[in-house]
Amino acid sequence: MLTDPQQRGSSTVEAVFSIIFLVLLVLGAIEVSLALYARNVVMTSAHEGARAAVELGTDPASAAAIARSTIMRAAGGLVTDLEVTVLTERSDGFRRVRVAVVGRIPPFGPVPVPIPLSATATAAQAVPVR
Amino acid sequence: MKRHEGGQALMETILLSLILLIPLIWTLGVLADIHRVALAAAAAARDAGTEAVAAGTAPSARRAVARAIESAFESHRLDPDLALVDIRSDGNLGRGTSLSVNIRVPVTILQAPLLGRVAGPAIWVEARHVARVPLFGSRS
Amino acid sequence: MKARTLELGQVTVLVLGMGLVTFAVSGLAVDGTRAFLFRRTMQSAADSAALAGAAELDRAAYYRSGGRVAKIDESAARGAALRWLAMRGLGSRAAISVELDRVVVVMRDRVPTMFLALVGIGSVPVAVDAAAEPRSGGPGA
Repeated sequence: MLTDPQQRGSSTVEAVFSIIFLVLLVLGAIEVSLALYARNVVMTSAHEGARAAVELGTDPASAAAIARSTIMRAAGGLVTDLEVTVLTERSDGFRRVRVAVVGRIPPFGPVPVPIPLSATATAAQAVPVR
Repeated sequence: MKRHEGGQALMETILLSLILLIPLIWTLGVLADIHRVALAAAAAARDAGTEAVAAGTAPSARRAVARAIESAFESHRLDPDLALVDIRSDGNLGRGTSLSVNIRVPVTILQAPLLGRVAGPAIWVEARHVARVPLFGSRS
Repeated sequence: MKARTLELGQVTVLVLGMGLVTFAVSGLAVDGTRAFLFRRTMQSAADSAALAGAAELDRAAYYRSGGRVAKIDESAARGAALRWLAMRGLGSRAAISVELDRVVVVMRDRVPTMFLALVGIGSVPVAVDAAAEPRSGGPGA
């Protein structure tokens, strides 16, 4: 019977627990979405960085700089502690740029742990015949 | 007896929420896949167009397209063989003419975690890039 | 006995509420995805048009300077960009400008919704921009 003070009190407690549980669930879902989205952004930024480097870079140093700035612009707003490693090489009539990106999403929602992300990408361009 | 009934509402809330969680996680997974495949296809089409118009001949253009798609898909951790490619040129790769690269990729909706890709309904993602054969510049 | 009936009522409200939330989330997902994919298509078209426009060099200036001045021929660039956009046949509004030796293409459109239309949002605006500029000198030289 709901007039029983003990029963009334416990239904309020239940309501509070239910709400807390639902809020945690929603925050968890948002965190999962954000992590999946950020993972895709990091992958595509790495690829764009490698492409920009191989198309616009005139030497290994400028290629690395272009790759870094492209990736920072694309993913820097979303991902923290971004580290970009760039390797350039020339073989078989191709210029190749290999990019490795690591970073993390800051802690958010029910899981108070930063989520690490990483991606690698390679781009190649045929060296024009002069 | 009363306390047992009183606790039922909370248990039902938790149960319903967990049941709701499964389709929610599934939806998020599919959306993330569509996002990734769309990014990969767009990058692949653009790179393929750029590389193809820099190639001097049709066979080397086709090879360039295959390389570009492989590179873009591998960067996005996708299997390049999934891509259906259609290349059209309106002028035999002559300078100033256009070349279009159309890529279609299926995103499978039903994916059991351990069984891998299940052949079933898929959402098709399409990307297209129309590139111009450069008027100037050397060709490979 | 009364407590049980009240709980059943609570559960019904809960189920209805969750059903609504699921429907709303699904709707957002479907409409959001359609808008995102169309935006990708528009971006690709804008990229193509900007690249095609940036290829139109002022040949007189180029030859006069012995190949040192790579400047865009404004009207030819605009024409090329427009032709490339027309080839895609998207029907979106586009603005092409040539500024400081770059071709900038801005496109705007509205994507009709399926689920959001039920709550009064008939379409979602999307906009993209692309810029391209000519470069002289070979890559990896």
